[in-house]
Amino acid sequence: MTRLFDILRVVLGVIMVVTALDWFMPSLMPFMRDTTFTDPMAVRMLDVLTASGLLAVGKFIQLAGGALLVLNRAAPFALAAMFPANICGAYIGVLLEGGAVLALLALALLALNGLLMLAYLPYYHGVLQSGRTGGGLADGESAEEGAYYNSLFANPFSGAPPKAYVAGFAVWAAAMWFFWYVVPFANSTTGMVTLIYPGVILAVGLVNALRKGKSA
Amino acid sequence: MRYAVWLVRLIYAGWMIPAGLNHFYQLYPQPLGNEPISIAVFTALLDSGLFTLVKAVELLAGVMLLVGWRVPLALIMVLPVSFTVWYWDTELQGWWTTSAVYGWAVGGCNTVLLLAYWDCYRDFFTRHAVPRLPFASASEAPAREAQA
Repeated sequence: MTRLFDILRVVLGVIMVVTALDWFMPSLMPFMRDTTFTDPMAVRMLDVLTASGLLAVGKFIQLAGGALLVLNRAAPFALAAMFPANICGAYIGVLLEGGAVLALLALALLALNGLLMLAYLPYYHGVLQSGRTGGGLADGESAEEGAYYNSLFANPFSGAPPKAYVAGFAVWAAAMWFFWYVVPFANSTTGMVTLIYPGVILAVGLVNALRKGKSA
Repeated sequence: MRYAVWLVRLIYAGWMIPAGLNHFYQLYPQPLGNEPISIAVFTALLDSGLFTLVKAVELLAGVMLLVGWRVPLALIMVLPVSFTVWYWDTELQGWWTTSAVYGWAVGGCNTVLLLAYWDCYRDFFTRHAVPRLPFASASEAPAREAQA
C-alpha cells in the first residue's frame, strides 16, 4: 500500500512542478496546452491575481511543494502548503469556470492532495489534537492549572489558583488597553467587545477559585 | 513568555472575530483599498464569492483561538488568509501606508503564535515521512524516520 501512495505522491509532485514551471517559463514546456478560460468572472479573477502577483505566489508554492513531494522531503508540510492553493484552483475551475474537463481535473488534483494528506495523517497528529489544553501547549505554558491559556480564559472550572487569575487579568487588561489606546476606528470597539467573553470567563473562574479557597 | 503569547492570542482573536463577522453582519464599513490594483483584487474576491470563504475561515479561526479549541489547527488554517491580508496591505496598498501597519500586525500575530506552538508542527518536517492506508489500525502505522 505504501508503494501506491509513493507513486501518487510522485504523480502529484510532477503535476505541480510541471504546471508551475509552465506558468513561470512557458518556453520550457512547449508541449503543454494553455488552458483558456471563458467565464468572465474566472477571466477577471485570474487577471487580477496575475497583475497583483498573488498567482505567482500560488505557483511558487506549487513549484516548491511539488519538488518536495518528488524528492520525498517534508511531504506532510508540502501537502499542507499546497492544499489552500489547490482549493482556490478548484474554486475557480469548478464554481467560476465550470467547464467539465477543467472542473474534473481541478477536483481530481484536490482529491489527490486530500487523499495523500490522509495517508500522512499520523504526521498531522500534533495539529489535530484537542483536549483540555486546547490542542497543545505554547512556549512557556505547562500542564498545571493556571499555567496554560484554557485554564484561565476558556474554562472557569479548571481549578486554577487565585494567584494565576491575577496574572490572567493583567494580560486581559493589557489586551483591552491595546484596543482602547492603540487600535483606531471601529476596530477598537469591536475588539474590546470580543474580549468581554474571556473577561467573563476569568471573572467566573476567579470567583470559583476564591470560593474553593474559603471552603478549604 | 506565556503571558506574551496570551496577549498576542487575545489581540489576534479580538481582531479576527469582528473582521470575519463583518462580512456576514456589517459592524463597520469594509475597507476597499486605495490603489487600483488593491481595489481590483478586493472586488474580484468579493464578486467571485471567494471572499466569503476567506472571511468564514477568519471568523472560525478567531473563535477557535478565543475559546481554546484546536488552536494549532486554527493557526495553520488561517495562515493563507493572514498572508493574503499582509500581502494586500503591504505590496498592494503600499509599504509605507497605514494599511501596511495592519498587514504587519495580522501577519506578525499569526507568525508569533505559530512559532509559540512550533512543537505541534514538528512532524510536518519529517524528512522521509512514510504514508499508510488512511484510518488503518495503529499496528499498521509505519515508524517515523529521521526528523529534519
